[in-house]
Amino acid sequence: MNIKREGIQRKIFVVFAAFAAVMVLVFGGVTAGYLLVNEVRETKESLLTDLTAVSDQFERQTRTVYQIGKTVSESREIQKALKKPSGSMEDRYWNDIFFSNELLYISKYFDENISVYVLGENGSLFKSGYLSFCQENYSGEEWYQTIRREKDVIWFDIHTGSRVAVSPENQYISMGIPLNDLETNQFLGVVLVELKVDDIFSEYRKDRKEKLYIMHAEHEMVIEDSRVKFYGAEKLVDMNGGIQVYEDKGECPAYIQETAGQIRYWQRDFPSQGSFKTIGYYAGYARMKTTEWILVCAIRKRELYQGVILTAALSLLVMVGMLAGTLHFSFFVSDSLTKPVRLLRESAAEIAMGNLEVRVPRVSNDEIGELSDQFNTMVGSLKELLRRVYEEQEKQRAYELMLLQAQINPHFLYNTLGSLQWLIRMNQLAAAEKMTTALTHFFKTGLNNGKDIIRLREELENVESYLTIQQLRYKSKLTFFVYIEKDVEELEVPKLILQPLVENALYHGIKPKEEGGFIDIHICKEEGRAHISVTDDGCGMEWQMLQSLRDGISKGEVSREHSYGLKNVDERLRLFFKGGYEMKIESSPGLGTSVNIYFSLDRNNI
Amino acid sequence: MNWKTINNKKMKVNGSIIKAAFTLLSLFAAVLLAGCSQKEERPFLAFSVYEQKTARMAALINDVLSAAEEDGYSIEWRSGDGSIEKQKADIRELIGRKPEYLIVVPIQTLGLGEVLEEAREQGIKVIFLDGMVDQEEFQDYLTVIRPDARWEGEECARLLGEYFRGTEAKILEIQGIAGNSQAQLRSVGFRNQLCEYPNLELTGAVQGDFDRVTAGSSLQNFVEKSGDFDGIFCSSDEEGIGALSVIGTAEGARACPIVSVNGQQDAKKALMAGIYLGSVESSPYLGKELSSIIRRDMAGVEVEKEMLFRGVMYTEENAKEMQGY
Repeated sequence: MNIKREGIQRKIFVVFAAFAAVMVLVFGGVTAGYLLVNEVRETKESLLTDLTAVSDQFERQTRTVYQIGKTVSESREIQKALKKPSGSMEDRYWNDIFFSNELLYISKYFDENISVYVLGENGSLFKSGYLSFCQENYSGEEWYQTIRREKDVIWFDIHTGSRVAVSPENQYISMGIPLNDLETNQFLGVVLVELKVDDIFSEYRKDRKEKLYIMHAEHEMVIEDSRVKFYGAEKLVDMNGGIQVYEDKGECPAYIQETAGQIRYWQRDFPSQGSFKTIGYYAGYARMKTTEWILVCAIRKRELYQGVILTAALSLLVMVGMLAGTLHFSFFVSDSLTKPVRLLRESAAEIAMGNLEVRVPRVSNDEIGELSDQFNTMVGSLKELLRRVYEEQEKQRAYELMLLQAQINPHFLYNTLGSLQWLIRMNQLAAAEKMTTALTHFFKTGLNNGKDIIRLREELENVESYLTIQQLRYKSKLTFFVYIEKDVEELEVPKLILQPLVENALYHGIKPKEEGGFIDIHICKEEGRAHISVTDDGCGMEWQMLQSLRDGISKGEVSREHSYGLKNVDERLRLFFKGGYEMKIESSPGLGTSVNIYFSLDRNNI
Repeated sequence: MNWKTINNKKMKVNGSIIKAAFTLLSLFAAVLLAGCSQKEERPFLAFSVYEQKTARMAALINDVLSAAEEDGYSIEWRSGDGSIEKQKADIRELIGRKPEYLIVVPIQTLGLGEVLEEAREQGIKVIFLDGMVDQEEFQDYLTVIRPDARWEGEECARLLGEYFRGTEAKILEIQGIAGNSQAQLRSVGFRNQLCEYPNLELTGAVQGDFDRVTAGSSLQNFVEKSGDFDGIFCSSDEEGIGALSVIGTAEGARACPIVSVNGQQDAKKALMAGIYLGSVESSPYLGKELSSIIRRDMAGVEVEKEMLFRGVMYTEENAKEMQGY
């Protein structure tokens, strides 16, 4: 698209829309990108932060469990009580009460979520809590035997419900320590410490996207080539939505294996905390020092990016909406800007077709509105100008028609022919020939081949012919003198401007005077202007008539009887010289009248 | 491009864009809102207890859960851990999960009215277990299933009356959680029945809060303030065990008979050891009755407003028969 050749509206629309679209895309893209990156980063950080909080709390509590277990197992009083034979029920019960109270105070001091149990080979059962023992003898239990065999601290899986007490369905981890006589190393019983972990892991029991796992090995868990291999009684415990223990690798879902596969546990050389990615998961892990378990918190990547996708979709939707709005707005703006211009263009076309009645409506109060007003003013002025030109042309034609009529004035022709006839009859052939010649010349110069503009010299010849004819008629009553300076001979003037003045001088000035008179026509250059004067020494005019004549000429309201010819000349000269001309009339009763015309030598330089 | 044509079609284009945008937004909203979780088909029970650390409550909780599972209900439970505020919060959370029934073991008679009202407004039926709330706070419950605490208190008074047989004696009362309905009723029953024995005098009452450590401390304080008593009535076995630990010797225990309510394992041991006078069994096994009530209610059968149960008084003679939960 060559934008230079396109219309204004399209240009504005394209430029505006392109600019706005770029802004929307850039801003939207940057914002969306920032949000996406931020959301993923925040989710990952939140995952690791929560895991750290859980693992720290877990570590603290398991350490407390260990300390309590160790302390109780090495308590001399307890060892002494366990060495004694069971004795009477009364004695046994008092022992139970006493040591249970001791354990109760320990539990309340450290953490009420920790329960301590001492299970003696002699039948003693001490407990720190209020729950009841679920049986009287635990020596047959597998975990009891395991602790006995272990000879040191052993940690047990998370399990539901206490191993020794009637409890609600809470989740516990337990630690067992064999109670051996400090002196003889004789096995006296076991100390079992249970930690209720519901509160620690409760956050992960809710509908969270992140899943928490505990990974540990009773013997060893080996990961080779990202494949989990279990040895002995290794288990992978999934604590989400209940306890799920996978005892066999085959039972373990692939995604858990995949997550476990990232931990080089057997190498024991990885940092105590960190994060990693698998194909389907993002996970954080924390290694427990006390239990050597590993807490792993994993989130499926598709859930990690779920919020991201939603944000991206929303961003895209918003951007599309904004783009649509931008395009619409661009169109609206370009249309509203160019509509007045289009109206102007249409109006101009109308005017070009000749319709000057058209007007542009003002649709705004800005520069376009001002342009509309000025356009309307211009059209109005043009119309007015054309009307004046038309009027002037009409006047010009009317004057010319009058002149033409004056030229072939029947009376003048009648009288002149009559005079000619008389001269021929009287056999004054020379005078007749002179009159005929003058008449011929008069009409010839008057008609001037149809041209309206004439040289002053030719105009003077015309009036001279007229005066010659009149002199032949009026004989000694009329004398005349004509003079023209050479500098002004070639000046252009409308034709038939002198004849009406001379006619007035003859008929209104000389003719009424019995003794006759004199008409002097003088054309010269004066003070940079051309000066034509037609002067007679005829009757002259009274002051009022002179004033009336002057006023009439200036107002254009001269009646026929008051020299309509003078007005005609004045109007034509005014039209020709466009006001760069002046007519003055001087008259005195009994002394004569002088009509003086002044105009610029250069008609273009008015 | 003919801009005049575009101008003429401007409204149509704009209208199309707006329609398309609305359609897109509606679809998007529908997709977002489409993830409504399916309602459980099995009736869902919400279960709120005020604590879970005692043998009695552990037994009660396990029995209710077991009965619910047997009858095919899905159930979720929360423990208030001895705090009424936590129990209120628990109940609110459980209400939010839209259960059909809300089973409450209330900690106190007062304080739960507001949340229970919220449950009622949502059409959730309320059942009280092992206790109740004040009728002025809330009375739109389906039923109450509890041991006859008043009778339990009366039985304890009768046993002490029989023990002292006309001999003048001062009896110390160790009370349960203040405001707890069962504790209050046991106390009322005990005191009313004690009036039948003019030789027995209630020398004082201290707070035990159903906790052996608290009871022991309260007793210790009473003793240190030169409190005098010849026998002890405890609202629960926990307080009785706490009293035993303060007494400290078997001889002392024999000289100062202790009688309590519950029928726990520790009380059984004490009975069998001859260092405890008696324990009225207050059965925590209310699960079956609860399930029965729910079953009948779901079938549209009218259920009793209150179900009371009475246990057995156990002494050294019949301690072996005691279940001792």
